[in-house]
Amino acid sequence: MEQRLRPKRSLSAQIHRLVLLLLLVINIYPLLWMVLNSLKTEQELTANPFGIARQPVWSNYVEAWKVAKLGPYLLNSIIVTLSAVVLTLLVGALAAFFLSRFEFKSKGFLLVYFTFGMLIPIHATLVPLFIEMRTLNLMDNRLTLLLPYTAFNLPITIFILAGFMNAFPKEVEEAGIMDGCSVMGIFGRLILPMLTPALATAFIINFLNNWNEFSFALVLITDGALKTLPIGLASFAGQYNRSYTLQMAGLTIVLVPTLLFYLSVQKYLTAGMTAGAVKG
Amino acid sequence: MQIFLRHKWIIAAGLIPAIAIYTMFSIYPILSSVYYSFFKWDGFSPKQWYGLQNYANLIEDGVFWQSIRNNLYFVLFSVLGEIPLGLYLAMMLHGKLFRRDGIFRTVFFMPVVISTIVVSLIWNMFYNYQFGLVNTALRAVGLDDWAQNWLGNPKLAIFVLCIVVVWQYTGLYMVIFLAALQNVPSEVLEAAELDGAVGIKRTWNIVVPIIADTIFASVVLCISGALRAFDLIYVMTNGGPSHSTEVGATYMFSQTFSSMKYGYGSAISTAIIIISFGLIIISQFILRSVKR
Amino acid sequence: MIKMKRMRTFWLYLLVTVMIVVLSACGQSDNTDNASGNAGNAGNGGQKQVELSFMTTWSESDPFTGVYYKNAMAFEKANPDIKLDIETIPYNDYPVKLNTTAAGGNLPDLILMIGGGSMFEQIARSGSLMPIDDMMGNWKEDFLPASKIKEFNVDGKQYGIPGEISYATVIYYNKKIMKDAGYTEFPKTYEAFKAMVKDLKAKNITPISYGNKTGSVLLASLLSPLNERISGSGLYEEIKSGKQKFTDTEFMTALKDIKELSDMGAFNVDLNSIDNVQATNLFLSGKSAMYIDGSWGAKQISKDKAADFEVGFALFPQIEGGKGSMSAMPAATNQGVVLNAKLDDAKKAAAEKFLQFMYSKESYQNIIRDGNMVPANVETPADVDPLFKEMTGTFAGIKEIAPVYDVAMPATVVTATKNGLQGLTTPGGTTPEAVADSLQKELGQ
Repeated sequence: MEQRLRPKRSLSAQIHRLVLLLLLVINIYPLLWMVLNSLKTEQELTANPFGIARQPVWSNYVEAWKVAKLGPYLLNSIIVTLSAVVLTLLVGALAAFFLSRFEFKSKGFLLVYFTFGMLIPIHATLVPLFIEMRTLNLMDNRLTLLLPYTAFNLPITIFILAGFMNAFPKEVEEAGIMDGCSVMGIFGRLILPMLTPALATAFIINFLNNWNEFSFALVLITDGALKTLPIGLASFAGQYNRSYTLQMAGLTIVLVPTLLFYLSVQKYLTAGMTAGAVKG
Repeated sequence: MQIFLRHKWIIAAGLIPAIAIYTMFSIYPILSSVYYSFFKWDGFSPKQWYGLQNYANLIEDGVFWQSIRNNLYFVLFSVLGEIPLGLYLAMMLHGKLFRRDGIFRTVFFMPVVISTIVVSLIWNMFYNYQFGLVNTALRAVGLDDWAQNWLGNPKLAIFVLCIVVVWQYTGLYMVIFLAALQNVPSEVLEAAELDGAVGIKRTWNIVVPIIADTIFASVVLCISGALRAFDLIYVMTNGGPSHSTEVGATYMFSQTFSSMKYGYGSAISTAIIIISFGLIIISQFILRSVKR
Repeated sequence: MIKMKRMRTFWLYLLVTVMIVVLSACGQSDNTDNASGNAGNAGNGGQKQVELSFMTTWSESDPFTGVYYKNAMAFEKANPDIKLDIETIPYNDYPVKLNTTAAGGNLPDLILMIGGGSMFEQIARSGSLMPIDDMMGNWKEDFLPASKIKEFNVDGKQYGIPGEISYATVIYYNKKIMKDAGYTEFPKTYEAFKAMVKDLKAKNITPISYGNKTGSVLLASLLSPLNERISGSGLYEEIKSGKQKFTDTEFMTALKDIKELSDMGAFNVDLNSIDNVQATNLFLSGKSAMYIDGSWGAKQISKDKAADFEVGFALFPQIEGGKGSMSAMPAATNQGVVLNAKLDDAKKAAAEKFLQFMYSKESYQNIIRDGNMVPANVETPADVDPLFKEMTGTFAGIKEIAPVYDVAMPATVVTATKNGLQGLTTPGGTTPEAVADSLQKELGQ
């Protein structure tokens, strides 16, 4: 199979290619548009929103970096986001393993219980969570956002991982038992490696949710030294004024780490079933 | 499997961390919010017991029902737009034809990567009445009459937003399906197989059962996402003009934080949860009967 | 197998990261506890530094609030024994933060109230704020007239002092477009104004641009002046007290006027989907003859206009047979700092010093120099922006201040009215009758 580098181009293949190319343009143009406009003055943006800046205003980037306090906030965002993602994946993968591969009495109930978490409109939880965090003395430190972020991302993480694991054949565990693995051994040695694509998916979703999360960060963090990027990026709009070009410069800056992150995780999405031994 | 039954505590130990964190920081706050929905409270003054009055008001509140109707449009567009389109893209990129073209995979996911603020800014500009891309294009081809104030037209605005939502989230489902398709040998998806109805049907018959659970999970995700939709609408139209793009979450937000009716806002959020749970049960029921 | 090992190393690595983060977090909170503890001990010995937490929207880089931030910094410099712990919240998210901290019972020592009025009343009546009547001796009546600070007075108690006063309705017009259309002088009556709007429209010029995406502009800069010109300044009080209804003739006339203007094409088509920055840019790029907004709009116009762009200022015209007059103007007072009711004596004394400084002659002059009007009677510094000076000249004849709708009405009614006005100005939207009905219902609850 691999010998044929390019499959023969049938008519339908051409049509599919055309569709994909069209979608490619639709998906990439807006980003390009943002970057182009981040180099304009406010007046030029209004007068000519779809062209190229006559004279690129690079100072927008310097200004945006300063106004949104991107320096310190970037570091905070990275710490909070990554630690929450890791905690969620650890705890979530374990839970998904048991919920997917085992039969026990409360399983049905637990699946429904976790479903509820995906239905919660988060603004309804701001005040209760604020009170809870204050009571637990968890306001204004690095743990503050870690726990709610984990809690709110666990349901989707568990569903993705469990849904993926459901497709594994029964033989996985049977092979493990034959080899004399313990339960955790089966999880760690057999299931986890097979789970890589789903873990990558969950990783990406978690990362983006935490990276862009605004409301919890707004309400639960008071200390300016602990605030995160989305709060900084909101400071381009005041009561009577809004600086669109600066905002786009700031958003472009923040987009860079996000893209780098996605590109580095992307290859694991299709890491495939390399654990060939147990292929059903 | 019998070996595991002797180790029930292992199951418990594996599940407890997730249950504990989730219960403390997700379920407990929302239960508190449900509790507040039985009070009349502005957030500043002491709470007054209000019984079921908030819910009685809710049932008679036309704006609330309009918001829910808008949410349902979101559900329809998401489930019927994002999932099929995402599945199509995933199958294309997993098949032999485009496997090697990593650029597609990267670019199709772009809208998910960029934050909602960017998405809102960009699409607001595209739909702008004076110099938006859509109107400029229409005028350029002589369809001046079709040019309109897309986001200001109460009949159109919600559908305009639906298109943006599909644009924004299709990539997410593509990635989810792409991961799930790793369980399907890629030969099955060879491009030639997609030729003609027979090929599509055969592919469908092979692929869908294998990733059925992922599809179910995606539908749940779609419904819950559509019913909680907030950011995009908040930035693009703020629920306006005159509530025409209001959804449950934006209405709840403005009632709580602008009108300072905290108890009423909590009642709205409780209603959102109940309605979305109902929808999910219905959808799973339908999907399971289709599967059989 | 190699792959598996790598996987395990990966997980181990992640676990370690989590532990480090958790530990560092704990370490950090310990440190802060110690720090405050030390400060307390040091205080017993001698020089005691009082720390005041302050929640605000003021930000150094914001063209509208930067001057307040700088004034606050100057205060810190002049008072080394007082430390301000400032938390700057983005304007649009301020209500969420304020309401959540209040509902959670954890308000900071000092709180910025962007505006006075009904929302503020609700907060003040809840007992969360400290009245400052015992401090008011610092400000003499001839410096700060009671009539100008009454929006921060609830049930006879003063809670704060506004930093600036904003006139809600200024008509900015493009002198060149007007002249080309044959208008050298701005109409003084509403009938003549409407005739001009019709004429401009017939000449294919967009008469007025508004940026009403948030809904607050039409409320402050069209409904409020119409209500004043038709009914005089007491209408909202009468409606609130039940003497009049939204559905009665006077309020209905204003709604019908708005509908009439909208139907004759007086506004930019997309008024409800763009914000005031975008609407200002429309005006500045010559796409509309007039731009209507509050006095705050002058700042962006002055900053962004082309050198040869000539802007004129006008007041909302007189309505014949109405009870109001052009010597009255709806206005709101903003940027008042209020005190948490739970302050101890040391903090209260520090807070008093802070208020004294922030609302002093020098601070007010800085605020004027930055292009704002102030409630206090102070001399205008010589070095103000000439455009700003020209605008304030237009206001010279104003003798009376009328309330602005969103300050005077309860928050629920304000939200409903914003949506009602958007409906009125949308083709195929709501009728004036339906809007009035819904407002009356909202007020009744």
